[in-house]
Amino acid sequence: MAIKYTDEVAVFEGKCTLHEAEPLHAWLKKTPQGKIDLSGCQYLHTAVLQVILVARPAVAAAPADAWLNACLANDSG
Amino acid sequence: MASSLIDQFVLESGESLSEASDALLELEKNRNDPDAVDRLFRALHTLKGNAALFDLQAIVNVTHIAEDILDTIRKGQQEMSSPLADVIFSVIDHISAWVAAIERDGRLPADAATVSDELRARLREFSIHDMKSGPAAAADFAWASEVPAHAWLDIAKQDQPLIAVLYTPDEGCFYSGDDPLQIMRDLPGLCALQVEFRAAPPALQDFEIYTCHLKFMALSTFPLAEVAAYCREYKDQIAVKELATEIPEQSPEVLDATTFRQIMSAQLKILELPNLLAGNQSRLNAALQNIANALAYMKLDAAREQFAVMQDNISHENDLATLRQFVSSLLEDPQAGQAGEQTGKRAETSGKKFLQVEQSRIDQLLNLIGEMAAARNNLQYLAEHAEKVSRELSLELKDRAALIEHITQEMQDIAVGFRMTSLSSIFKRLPRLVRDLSKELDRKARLTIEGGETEADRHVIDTLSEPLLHMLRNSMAHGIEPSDERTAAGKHPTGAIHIKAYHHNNQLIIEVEDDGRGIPVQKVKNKALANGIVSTEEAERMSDTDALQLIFHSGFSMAEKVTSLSGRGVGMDVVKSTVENAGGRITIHSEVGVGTRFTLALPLFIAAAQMMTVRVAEQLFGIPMQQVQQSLRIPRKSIRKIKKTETFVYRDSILPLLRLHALLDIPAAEQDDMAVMIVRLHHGLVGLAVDDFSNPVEVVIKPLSGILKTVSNFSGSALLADGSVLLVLNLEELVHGHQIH
Repeated sequence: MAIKYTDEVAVFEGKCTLHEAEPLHAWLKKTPQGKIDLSGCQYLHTAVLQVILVARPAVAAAPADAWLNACLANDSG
Repeated sequence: MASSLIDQFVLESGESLSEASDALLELEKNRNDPDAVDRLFRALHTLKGNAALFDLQAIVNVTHIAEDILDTIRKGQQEMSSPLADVIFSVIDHISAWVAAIERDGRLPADAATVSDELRARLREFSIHDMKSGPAAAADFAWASEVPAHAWLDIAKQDQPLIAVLYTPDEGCFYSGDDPLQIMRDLPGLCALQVEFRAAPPALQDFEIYTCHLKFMALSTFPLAEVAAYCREYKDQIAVKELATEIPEQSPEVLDATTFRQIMSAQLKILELPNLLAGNQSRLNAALQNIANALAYMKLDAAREQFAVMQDNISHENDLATLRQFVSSLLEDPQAGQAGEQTGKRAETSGKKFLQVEQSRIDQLLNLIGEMAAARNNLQYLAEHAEKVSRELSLELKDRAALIEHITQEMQDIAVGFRMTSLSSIFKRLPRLVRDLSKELDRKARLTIEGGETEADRHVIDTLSEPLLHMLRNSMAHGIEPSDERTAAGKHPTGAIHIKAYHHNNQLIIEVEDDGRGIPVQKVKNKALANGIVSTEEAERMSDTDALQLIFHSGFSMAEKVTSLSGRGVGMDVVKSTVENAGGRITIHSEVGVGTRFTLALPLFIAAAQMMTVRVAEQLFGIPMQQVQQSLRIPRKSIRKIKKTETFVYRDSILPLLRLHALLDIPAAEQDDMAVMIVRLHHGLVGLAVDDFSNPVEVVIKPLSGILKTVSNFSGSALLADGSVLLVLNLEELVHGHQIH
């Protein structure tokens, strides 16, 4: 698993594939106040991205990847 | 369609297709040649225009798409590629076939629409515009002008020419393994990326995670062609648009020449007014402004520049004089100031006027002139006869005959000149053939042509067309080796085929030379033996030069056809007979490992031919002069029989002696001395026994018509001075049936 879930934070590490979308979706539904830590994320599948964009969780740490930042910023407003 | 209109359409389309083919070959060699793209574009455009006049939709539709693609190449949005050239060649080939069908049947073939659709589909693969006009065509690219700062990776790039990409992935794209974000991140030249939900997203609770709800908007700094090529795989989901970086300059309305002249003429009158520099400066300024405007509207850029310099330096009466001269010259010829190519082209075309005349009309004229030449000979004959009656009358007749001879000779020269065409008309087809064969046979070859401007009678050139194609095929299939074989032999990996044409001794010479593997003589002998063309003894006796001639034997070629690629028979026997039927000769020179050279020698004109005449049983027969070696008389006793063939000694060699009366099945009287014409045939020299020799004549040979057409012993007939008919012997055919032992 590339996403590690704590009570409050989902920590993304390395490559987050399509398979991460369902557990992330479930976690975000269950944890509306949950934050995401994208600092270790190197790759994000579109399915995972759109779960983040629809849930708009608070970002505890931004991704290092500039493009990922751009994508998350785009639809955040 | 009216017949004359069809003819015109066929003629012009043929020219356009030929031009298109040439330009495409050029473009394939040099993919960035703007001139070749322009020529190809213009040729297809003309073709489309002509086809539209006759509502030939199959041609219009396919040329339209081809034009679109070429336009993107002209604009540098994509390059000509080999696969694209293949498709355009295919388009040219199909249209050529359709034009031929129109010429033959007056309409397109039944399957033209279907074929046109197929060709269009193949062309669309290369169409950048189709990317834009696909399902996402309605895409609104307004966002591209207001990309927020956070979407830019490098905000500095926003001033560059940009390509906007709108990607609306299929909702089920995850199931087919697509990851749209990744696809966008890999976009060539990506410099800005935005992601949005394509519609208001549902609540998190109801969110379908395996449905793609997003759309992507990206900007790229790369050329449209590259971006479009990348997006082609997602063609129905992606729209691509080149963003305008500057507002195009409004092109001024163009003045017609008459208005331009009126304006300039009025300004000239102002410039001729007195005291312009002293007291009438405002009038001068107005005139100068009017001239500048008129030049701008006429788009006479060179003249504008010239004028701008003059305008800045008007301080003296002399400057005004120069200006007046400049305006006057523009009045005479508005293009006068335009330098370079444009002026050159005008000069090239303005001097001469051309008429297009059907070839059959020229032939008709030439035939009539030929008849007239025969009638003139008749007059000379009459003049000689008249001498018996009155010497005075005879002299007068001879005088008139000489005048008529002079005139008819000149007419004949001019009329023959009408039919003189340069070889470039047939050489044009050859580069395409080499290109296609290179691909088909997987051989690399470079064709060079020398002397394309060499002229010959149209009929000679038409005759040459097929043999040349045969010889090139032969060189490509059997001469030029595969690249690895060439490299191993220390040769350049690309084979060279050189075609050279020139005039020599009033003959047209064409050499076709390759630097291929050459023809191994022993192999030719073996094949000829295996095919029963020669016996073992003959093969052993045969010199290398003679053995090479075996490749022209029909039996040899038949065997070749079986092994030749794509069912294309090499048929060198056909080449030889075609050339010889036109009064020409073909020779071959080959060296193993070095290459092969075929040399064709043909008469420049077919119209008037030099004939040697011979008499057999009081009948006169013609022998083409190029076959005649020598005429001599030999005593009967020097004739020796070897097996069943009569022979005689000629210059230290034994030649077979054939009696023409026997060949023609005419009874003949026995004589002590035999008149023997030594003639040069396929197999070598042969002595032809006749009753007597007669005078050489220059005649117009007509092919035999009616039931005589099938008589192969004669190649044609000609009218002689005394009104009698001369039958021209087809010696090859005559001797062919006669086995020489």
